[in-house]
Amino acid sequence: MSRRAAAKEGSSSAYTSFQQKRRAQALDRQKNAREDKVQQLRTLALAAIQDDAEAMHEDTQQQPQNRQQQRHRRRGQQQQQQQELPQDTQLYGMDGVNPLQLGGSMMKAYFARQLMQPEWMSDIPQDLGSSWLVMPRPEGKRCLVISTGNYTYARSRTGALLLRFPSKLPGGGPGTSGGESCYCVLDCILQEQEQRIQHQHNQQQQQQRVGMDADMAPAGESTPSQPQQHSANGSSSSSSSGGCTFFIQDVLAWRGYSLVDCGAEFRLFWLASKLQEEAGGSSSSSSWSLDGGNPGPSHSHRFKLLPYWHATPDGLAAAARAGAAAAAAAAAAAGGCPGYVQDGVYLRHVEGHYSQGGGCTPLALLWKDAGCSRYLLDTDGDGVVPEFQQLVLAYQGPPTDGVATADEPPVVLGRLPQEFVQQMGPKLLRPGRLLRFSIRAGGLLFNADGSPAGADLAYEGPANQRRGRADVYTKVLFQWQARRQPLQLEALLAAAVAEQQQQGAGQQQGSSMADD
Amino acid sequence: MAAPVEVTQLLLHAQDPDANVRSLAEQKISQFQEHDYPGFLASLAAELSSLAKPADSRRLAGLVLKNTLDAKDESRKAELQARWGAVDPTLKNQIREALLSTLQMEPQDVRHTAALVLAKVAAIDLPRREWPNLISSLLANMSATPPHHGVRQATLETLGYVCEEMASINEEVLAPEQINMVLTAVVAGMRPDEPSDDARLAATTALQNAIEFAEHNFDNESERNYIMQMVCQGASARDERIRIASFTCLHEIAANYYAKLPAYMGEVFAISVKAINEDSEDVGLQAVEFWSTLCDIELDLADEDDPAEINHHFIKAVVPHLVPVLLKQLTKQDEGQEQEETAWNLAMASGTCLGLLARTAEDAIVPQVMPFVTENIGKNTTAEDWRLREAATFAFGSILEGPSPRSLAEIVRQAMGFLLAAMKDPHPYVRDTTAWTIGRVFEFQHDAGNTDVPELITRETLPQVAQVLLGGLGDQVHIAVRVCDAIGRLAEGFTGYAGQSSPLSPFFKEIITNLLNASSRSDPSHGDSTRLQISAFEAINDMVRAASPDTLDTVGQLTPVFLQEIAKTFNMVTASGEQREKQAELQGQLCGVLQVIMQKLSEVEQYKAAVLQYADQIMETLLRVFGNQTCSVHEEAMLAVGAFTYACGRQFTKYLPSLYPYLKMGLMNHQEWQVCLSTVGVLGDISRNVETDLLPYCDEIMQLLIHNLGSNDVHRSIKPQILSTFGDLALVLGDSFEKYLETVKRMLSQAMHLSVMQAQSSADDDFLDYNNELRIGILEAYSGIFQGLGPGKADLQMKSEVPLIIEFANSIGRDATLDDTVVRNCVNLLGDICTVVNHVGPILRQARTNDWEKLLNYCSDSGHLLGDTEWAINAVHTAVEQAA
Repeated sequence: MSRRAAAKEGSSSAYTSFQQKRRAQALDRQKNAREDKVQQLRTLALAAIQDDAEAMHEDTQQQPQNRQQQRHRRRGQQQQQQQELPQDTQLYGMDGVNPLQLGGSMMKAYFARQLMQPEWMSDIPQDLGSSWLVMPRPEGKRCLVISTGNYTYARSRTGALLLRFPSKLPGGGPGTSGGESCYCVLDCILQEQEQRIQHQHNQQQQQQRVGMDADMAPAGESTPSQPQQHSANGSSSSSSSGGCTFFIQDVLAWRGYSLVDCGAEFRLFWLASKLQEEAGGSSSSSSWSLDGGNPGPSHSHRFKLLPYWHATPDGLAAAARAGAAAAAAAAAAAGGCPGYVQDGVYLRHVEGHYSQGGGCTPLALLWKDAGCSRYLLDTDGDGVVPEFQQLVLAYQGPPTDGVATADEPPVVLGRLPQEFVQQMGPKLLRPGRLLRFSIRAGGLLFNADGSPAGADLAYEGPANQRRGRADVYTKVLFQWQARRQPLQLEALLAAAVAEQQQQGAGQQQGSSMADD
Repeated sequence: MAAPVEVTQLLLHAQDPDANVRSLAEQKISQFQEHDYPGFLASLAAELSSLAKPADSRRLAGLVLKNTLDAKDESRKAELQARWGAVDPTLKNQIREALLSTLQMEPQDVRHTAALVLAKVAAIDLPRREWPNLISSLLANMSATPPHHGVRQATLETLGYVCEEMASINEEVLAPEQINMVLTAVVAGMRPDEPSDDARLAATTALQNAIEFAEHNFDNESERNYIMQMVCQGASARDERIRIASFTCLHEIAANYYAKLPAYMGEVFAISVKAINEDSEDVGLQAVEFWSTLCDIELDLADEDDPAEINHHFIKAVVPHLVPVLLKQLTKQDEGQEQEETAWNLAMASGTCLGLLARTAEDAIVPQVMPFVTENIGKNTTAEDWRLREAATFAFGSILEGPSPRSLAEIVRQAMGFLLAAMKDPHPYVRDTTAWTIGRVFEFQHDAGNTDVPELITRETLPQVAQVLLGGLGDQVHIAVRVCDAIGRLAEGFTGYAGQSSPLSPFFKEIITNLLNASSRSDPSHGDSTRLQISAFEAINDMVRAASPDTLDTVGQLTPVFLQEIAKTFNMVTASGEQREKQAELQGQLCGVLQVIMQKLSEVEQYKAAVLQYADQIMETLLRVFGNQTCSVHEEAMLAVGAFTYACGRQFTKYLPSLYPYLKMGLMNHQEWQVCLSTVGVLGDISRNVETDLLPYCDEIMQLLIHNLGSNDVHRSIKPQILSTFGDLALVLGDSFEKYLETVKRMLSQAMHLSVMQAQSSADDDFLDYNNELRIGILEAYSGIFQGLGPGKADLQMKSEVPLIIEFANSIGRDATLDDTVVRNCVNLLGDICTVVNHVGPILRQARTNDWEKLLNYCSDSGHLLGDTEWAINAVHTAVEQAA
């Protein structure tokens, strides 16, 4: 009698039914945990297909044009603001937003806002020698590197996932110490494998070009904070061992501890000492295995901290030829060590926080001249410098029909003629559409106070829409100046010397911060 | 030609009271069977059909013969049937004739044995079209003149058994005209003017088995009318056995021809009410069962909601008339019956039926039952009035499931006070039913997470409730068991309570303490304290599952308590097998509680520490439980390990070396498939938590899993779970999984092939369910692999599999009814593929069919699936657009 067993019992009793309940609970737990796990990777992989290869390679640095006073005022404001206000967009894990819980495109946008955006230097800061740090800038892809949950993720400037791999960064690979809360976030330049091989040809070229600097072995004066010699302890397998090199230029978080609210000087000091701590535990004594070590099974790509100096005359000079020095060192070590081709220098104000949220900060600056970059002037797709300076602007739509930069607020450099707008039609010419222009004979126009007033623009064609945004004004201005009156290393050195003299001989600048 | 041998003595010895004689005879019989199968068959048939032999040896000859033709075990049965099939046709004919002739011979019980054997031979021969004249030979017995009652009875039995055998064969063996003739003979035997009650009973019983084949006859109104008339008349036959059998026929008819019933419901109602009110208990029980069966049918119809299947809503119509009849039966309790778990009488059956009526008729039942409840629940004028109080309470408890919570909310609110007071009723039967009813009230009317219904148990009412329940834990054991259940349901109702502190929190510790005390109660008045222990532990589990954040500290304190309890079990006396079994069961319950505690604490990050502070002790204890069994692995301990891994995370790595032998043993335990299944699941838990630290064990684990997947000894339910586990391992091992990839790819493509074939030859629901499990396993495995390998590697290693997977998705898309979980997993897998593999668009476009698109559309159109799958739908669309 089947009903007999069910009578008056409902869901009660019988050990087996309780056990069944626990089995079901265990299965639920397993199912959910499985889905969570696969969902994590799904979210990461998803961002990768929404990747925009164009925008990734693009290096749209920016700097709004202003007079020096304005610039300094703004720098002062920014310094003040960051002490008063917490950053509205905090680092991964710090603002309660777990980016893994965001949808693909939202997550991509989230990561895109994490990297600090420097301006281009169009005039020299007055406190260059006393308050700025200078670092060589390798050619490559700027990226955000996150080590967490036993994986290391590299994301492009647009937030797209470039690589996922195990590394020896804390939290970044199997066997690295630390629990869930252990993660690191670094600001890096990625030198890809093929790029590196190609650059090995270029290194020679560059060495010859700046050959007189090649024997500059920095001993004593202007000592870089990180040794540039790389351990030769058996790791000198040939460069065909593969793997990419991440040149670390900044740190956002280390072992779960956020550094975005710290000054640049502290961040770099912290980074250098933490990397050395990590190296202390490894077998290699002179150099942390992350730094220059060759890829291994659990360590497919290498990391290297870039050297930095105070932007004193000596520091500036050392930074400007650091690429060549690294290339020379690489050649001396007979492979395995990452050299790089330099593309100018990266300057940061010592007190400047790591500014996030997508907008440019005047406390971080890019600069290059022909002595420390292969591409002072922008080139086209074929590597040829076009006759006229090219720029990409965004169409603002009716009624103004203006075309403007990506700054906030946008700098309007011109307006599309009525008949042109009609000819293109609303389908092709939606607001936000990116258009390519060249600057003709009329050049850039300025107001009396030096602020931008427009430009003599000629329409060249539609830009690749997938790059995401127009050029910023400081980039346009830097390129404009570079074609006419480039800001040479000598000018920077002179400014630093003048500042030193002004402040008297009491200070000994130029020593490494890490040694302090 | 096999010559029969004298076997009389041998068979008689096989029934000898002396065990030595018996076993020697049994041995000789089986030797005979092995060495000379044809001779063996011929001898048994000769014995059975020989009037001169003793009835005992003839009967046993028949039974032995029957056992050479059939076995419970399917593979053994197939073997026996094949062996009979290979027997020389002449001998087979000889045996068939002997069987038919035995039907004509006295005594009756030998005829009966022959009927059983005949059906077994028919089960083999008829599908092979080898005994074409069987049915006509049997029918000849029925029309013989003068009629012989004994022969007719045995023939009707044979017809019934043959129908029963045919029903278990899927193909249609009997020709329509054969079925017609069988039914005519059977129904003729059921006529009221049948002189032999035994023959009429045999006919009625045969009809139960034949009804399934009577589709054509039930389509014909006059034939149907005649059959129904015979059945209904049987319900008032002189012989009680015939009345019982007639109601059983009605169950079968309702189950098979529900749609044809309307014309007969008036009469069926009348005879069933008469049986319930006036007939013997056994007949009354079958009459009540008819209505319960009808409820089952209408509940299924309401569930499936298939417009092609008519629901006549008989139950709704009958409720006002049937309910009073049933309520009257509730007062016919057998005193002391509440303590017997297997008690079954009209009162119990009527209460059960009332519960089914409530589920079927829903709100309509409430006004029919409540007057009886309010009138009787407080009756206390005579000593026998406890029957009224108990009946009223039982009636109330029975209708709590079915009617909408809204329609009952106010009534239940008013009844609560009454019920709580009744827990002090002088009669234990009333207290027992009251405790059961309170549990049902909590189960169906108390859900703090449901804002649609006003809260039944509030901070104001809970103190009294708690006090009464805690008191009830000290009552007689069978009542305390029900109180434990009620506490469990009470806790369950607070599971959905949002906030730091539920109304249960202030009583949390006290209730748990009392449950612990109850679990260790040994009541001399009642031998069965195990049941109380089980119920008390499960109530603790429910309390823990429902614990709100402010009681998690108390939950944390339970860990050492239960570790201590487990330690105590090792002091139990374990001399006998039964005692060892008892120890293992108690350890299982305790590990179960430990599992629930650890899972609860691990869900909250800061309470993981509460588990971790005892980590070594927990693992030592669980290992000791494992070590206590020599050839098996304790499943509950294994599940506890699974829960433990979530508290530990990667730290679990240090326990891997000591656990691994048991993990391996569990994976190899094919006999106890639940143990194996749970172990596979726990392996997934471990992998998620220790990740690559599992690597040193993976070669062997993968070998075991792959072996299990290919083995016929392994229960099929385990196989989908193994595939999912491949996904788990691929996900956490990443590149290190590559060395298993070729094998796993092969396994998966075999599994996909099997699944696609199964989907094409779709059979019964059971098969479809299993295929869906298999599909989920396959889909989870692939998702794990694609995502575990990541963008570059997946493109390189897995792209070649993509066309196969798309065909697999197509097969799923062709399902008549899509399963949500399968579809969601499948769409997500397509999303995975489009995300990590390049240029999937062209492959999707080139697929043989585009049934996979149905899956995407199904998710797009479904509100609840879209959220989980939108990303995947977009990813697939992007891939397809890029290919355009």
